[in-house]
Amino acid sequence: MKLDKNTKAKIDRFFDQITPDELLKLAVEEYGFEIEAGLSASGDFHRVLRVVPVGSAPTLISSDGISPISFAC
Amino acid sequence: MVEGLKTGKMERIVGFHGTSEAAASEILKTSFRKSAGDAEWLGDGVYFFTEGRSDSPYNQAAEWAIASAYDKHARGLRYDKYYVLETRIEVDEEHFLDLTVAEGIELLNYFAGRFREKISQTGKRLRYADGLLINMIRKHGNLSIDVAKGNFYIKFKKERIFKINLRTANCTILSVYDPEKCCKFTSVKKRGIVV
Repeated sequence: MKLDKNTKAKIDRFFDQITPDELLKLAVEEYGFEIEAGLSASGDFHRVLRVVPVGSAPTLISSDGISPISFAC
Repeated sequence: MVEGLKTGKMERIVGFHGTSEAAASEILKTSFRKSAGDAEWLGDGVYFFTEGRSDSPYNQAAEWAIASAYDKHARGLRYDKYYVLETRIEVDEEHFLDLTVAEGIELLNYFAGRFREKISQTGKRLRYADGLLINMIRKHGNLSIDVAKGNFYIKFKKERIFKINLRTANCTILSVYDPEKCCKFTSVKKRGIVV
């Protein structure tokens, strides 16, 4: 089995006939695809996290020094 | 011509299936039962080890049966005797997705690309898995696939105990989606005790 004109046409027919929302529903509900967790509110996951020294309280600190999330330990 | 009746060159492959003594007896009396496969592998089908990454797929099937005997929740063995079954598999090359060669990978990548384009329009991102994509190609993608083959890294007993997790494929496996049609003859290759 290879990606020849005939095979490509069959795959294209499937994707041309289904809407994005229908495909998402099918993928998640029928086939078990998982939706990836969203990005942080700032949209930049890496900007929010940085390494903190060993022994310091666990916290999330943004690169501008302001913690977007705080919690008691 | 009806696609299901189209005949091309037949691929003849020998596969090895490791399982418990009880399951093997049932298979020999009736037939293989399809089960939900690992999402990371080749989707829902009957799995076999075959030649490719290893010259001794029957040993890998035995190792798989041994590793699968251990129930990590109950911390004990589910079974203590295993069998390795040898099966002659025949599949029309028109219905054989071989992911160990470039043309098979090209087909899967094309499907995955079209899938990603469409899903991105919803603003969501999905976690991809080969097995889930193959299930979708088979059932909704208008392609009739009876057997798929791929190279994977599979953890057996030693790899699980010592948490050895490499990325280099160590096995070539087959998933047979229509065992009644493709599994032509099955016999016992090996019997063993789980230790």
